[in-house]
Amino acid sequence: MRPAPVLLLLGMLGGTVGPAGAAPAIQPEEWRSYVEAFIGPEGRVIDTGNGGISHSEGQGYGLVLSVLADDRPTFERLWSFTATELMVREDGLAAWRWEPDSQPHVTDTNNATDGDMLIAYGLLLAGGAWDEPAYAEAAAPMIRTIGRTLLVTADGLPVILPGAEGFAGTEADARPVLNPSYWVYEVFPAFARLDPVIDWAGVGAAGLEILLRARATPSGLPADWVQLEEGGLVPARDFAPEFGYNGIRIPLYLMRAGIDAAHLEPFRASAGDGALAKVDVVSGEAIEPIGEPGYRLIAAAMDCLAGDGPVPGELRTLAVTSYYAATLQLLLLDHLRRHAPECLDGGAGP
Amino acid sequence: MRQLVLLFVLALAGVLSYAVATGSAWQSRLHADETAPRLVAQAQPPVQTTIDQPAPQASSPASAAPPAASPGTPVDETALRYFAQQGDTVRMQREIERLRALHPGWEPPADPLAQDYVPDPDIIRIWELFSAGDYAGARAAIAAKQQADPGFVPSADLLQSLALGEAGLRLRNASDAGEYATVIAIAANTPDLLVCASIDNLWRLAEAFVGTGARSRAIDAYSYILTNCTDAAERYATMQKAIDLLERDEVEPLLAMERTDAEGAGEFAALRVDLARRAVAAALETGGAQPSPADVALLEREVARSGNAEDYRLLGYYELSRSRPNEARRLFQSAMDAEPSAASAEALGVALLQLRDPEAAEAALAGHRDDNDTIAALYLDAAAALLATEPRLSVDQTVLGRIVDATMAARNANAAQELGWYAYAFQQPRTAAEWFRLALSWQADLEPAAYGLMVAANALGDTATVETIRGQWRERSSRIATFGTNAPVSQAVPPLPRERPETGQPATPAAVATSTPAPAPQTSSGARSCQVYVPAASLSPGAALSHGWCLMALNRPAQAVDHFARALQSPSERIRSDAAYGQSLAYVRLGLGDEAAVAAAAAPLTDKRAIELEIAILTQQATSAYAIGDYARAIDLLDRRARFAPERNDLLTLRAWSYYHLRRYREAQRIFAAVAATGYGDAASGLEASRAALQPFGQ
Repeated sequence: MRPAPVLLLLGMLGGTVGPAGAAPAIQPEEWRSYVEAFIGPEGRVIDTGNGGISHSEGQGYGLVLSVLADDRPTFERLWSFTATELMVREDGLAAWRWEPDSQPHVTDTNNATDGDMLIAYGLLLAGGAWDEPAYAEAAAPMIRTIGRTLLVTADGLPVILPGAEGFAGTEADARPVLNPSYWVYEVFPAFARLDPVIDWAGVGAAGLEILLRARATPSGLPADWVQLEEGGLVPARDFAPEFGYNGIRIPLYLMRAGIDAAHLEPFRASAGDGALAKVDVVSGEAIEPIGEPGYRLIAAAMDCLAGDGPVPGELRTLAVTSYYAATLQLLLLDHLRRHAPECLDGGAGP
Repeated sequence: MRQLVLLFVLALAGVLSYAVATGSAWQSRLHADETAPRLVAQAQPPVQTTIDQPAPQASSPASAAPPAASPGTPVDETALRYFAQQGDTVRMQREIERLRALHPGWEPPADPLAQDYVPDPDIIRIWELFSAGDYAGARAAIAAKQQADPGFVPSADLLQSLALGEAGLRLRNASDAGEYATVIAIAANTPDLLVCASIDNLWRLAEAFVGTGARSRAIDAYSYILTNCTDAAERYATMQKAIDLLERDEVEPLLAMERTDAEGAGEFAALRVDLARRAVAAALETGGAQPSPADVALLEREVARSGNAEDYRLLGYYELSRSRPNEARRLFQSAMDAEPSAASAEALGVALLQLRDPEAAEAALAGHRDDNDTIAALYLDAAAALLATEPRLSVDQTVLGRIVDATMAARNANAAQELGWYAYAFQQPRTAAEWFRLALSWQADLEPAAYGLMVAANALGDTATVETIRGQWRERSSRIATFGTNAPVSQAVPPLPRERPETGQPATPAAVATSTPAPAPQTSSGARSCQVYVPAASLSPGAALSHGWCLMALNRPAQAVDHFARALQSPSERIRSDAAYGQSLAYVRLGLGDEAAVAAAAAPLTDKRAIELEIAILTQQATSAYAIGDYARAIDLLDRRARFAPERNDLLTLRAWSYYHLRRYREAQRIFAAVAATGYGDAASGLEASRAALQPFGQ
């Protein structure tokens, strides 16, 4: 990894995160409570809603958030754990699942591509924020491997394979199984600068195309797991045909990446009583609300961006509930505070 | 030597892309309610390792870590001085060794306590975290110090130490997860990990080589250890691991690297003996290869030194397998002398019977005849052979007494009819007739007993009995049909002791040789050649039956099951009966009591066979029930079995333990006491346990 492109990349990344030296958008107290609740001293992010396991997705979120919170020591902790405990795969990506009570701790050596993308993205952000080339040097092989081995073509679109094993097509059914919430839109420009051989922009566009195809379905939303066919979209075989905790990240990612707000419409429309819900995509019926504050902020933010005024006061600071809700909330608060502070201002105060 | 490590490790860099199918069938995804069945695809990515780095110039043959810093790197003595100030000489000394290894030519400062040096407590703390293996904490502490003090630059020594520690941790994690290609890649990139002080890394690397099929590399890794590493316990463990993972011929060159102590004793002597044992035991298996003469000689020397009974027996069975029963007898006698036991007695009995010395065999087996079914049956065989010996032996009253006891207890028709012939030979036709009648009552189709009764009745002038028998047996026996006429009378020859079928006991290496073939009945058709696999469906039912018995003789009950199943399709009831019997026996031999019972019902069986199977099946089922903790059922099965056959000491002990577990301590104690009184060692602990359990309630 030659120094020149890396430095170029770091310079460009500065714009995404914020000018060097600017105060982080994540408050010290709320970051401290997040760390206390969800990050262990050995550097693992603890999924409190999932038996206390750790996974590559959590590590990726943790790395990104610690850069956004300008907490380099915690970043180092997280990266040390990630590298020594999860990066045992031959292809250099992370084994996705780590359990505290198992021996060995890694209980599934398959990768989870969204986790790998988040880890690589966190490393790129860190390299730019703290002027450290070693981080980007560590990210580059991961990004190259993802680009060359985990992107496939489905119904003519370049899509992300959720894992190296088990999601590609079979003899019986050649259509790969996809997860629309694995499209972390803000990473594609960064990946493209580091590895321009791969059409990352095309991958991003394919994600939006998937959302467009979903509009034609009864619920207007994509299921958490889908397959593409003949210009359309169907819920994936062997998965529940539901939009839920996976898909709820899609509007968050769209907002953070500054994608045209028109893409938010189906999500905004499906939210009732200020909360998104789990939806049966076949019938279009809501199943149950996804109610923790972190999730409700997503719906409230969409409403604010559509002109409905600021988000409710109680959603403007971190609620330390579950790892997942708290993580999504921090990511969205970071974005709103930097790019849409009016959504957090006035109205019913804290 | 280090170059050797680097060369072999880097050379394998060519063997890098492995198709690793992890086979993880289920992957529960996050944020989903359900898991879904997974299809396993092959991952074939290029390996992302930077192995095109030049080999470091290290040339020192030391087994410690080579210099990681280029010459001129200032040596970070912070920790050293801190430990000196703390008075922690142990850690200071360790730190000195570490720095010496990292920086050859460096000498520790003359006075580590010199007051001009004030160690930075932050750096001390970072080193402490590193020493404790908390690499994440050390990294975080470095970052924190960098944030607080922008001028701080961590020393190259510190960073390299951390990188090495993290690489070692990652290697161990990859090894634990079975990611062998990663282990090899990390080792290739970080040869500093491959040192005697971290021998575990070398073991894991060798294992990874074996896991990826690079066996010669594994041998190289083990060779490196045995050439360079000196700790005796680690060398021994290394050899054990190599034996576990490699073939015998691959292990031999490693054994040759054995070191000897001052008295010339080799460090791997015990392992060599164990390999010899395994080789000799393997020869006793069906189709096992012959052991090398060196192995046999080694085991012989070992047993001469140690006098271990099990080794004596192993060698004895080996000699038996090579048709040297006299040698075997000598060895089995040594085993008995070293440690009298049912196993040794049984072995000795077998050898003596092969040597055609039934008198000695009976005597050898007598003391243990109640210990288990196998030896009980063998005892009766020896007794029958003893009685049948011509010219007739004058058998001692004591011996005769115990033979009679055993015969009555087992209701053994063959021994009974031998007693009849024996009595007849000593001019006691009345006694003889009683024995023959008894034999027939236990086994109605035993022709020699019928013939004997005819002969004895004739000597007593009991024409009625003679003619009754003639009438019953005319169709089945020519000598009975023509008895008393002028047709040439064949000498009244009692049959020799018959071989008996395997009763399904687990075969230890020492006991395998006693498995004798089941009675292979009638149909000829060259059925001995069943070594080559023939599908059962391609044979006629009759041929399948022969094939099945041939397989049983080769101790392949699992295959025999299929052939007997085919034979069950025969229109001939006789063949079907044989097949049901054979299949049931096969299941018993496989330890499947319930299946054996089902098979036994497939076709009508002779009484004798039905009883024999019933006994074997019930024994098997009772043992299985006990094993899974179903004690009440175990007792029930033992009760049912007891209607057919006496309960030997081993099953009595099982019964007593069942009572014990059911808290029927009084009954347990009663049985344990009775069994222990016969000298059966295994009952002693049960007796103690049940006595202890009864204490709170008084005697």
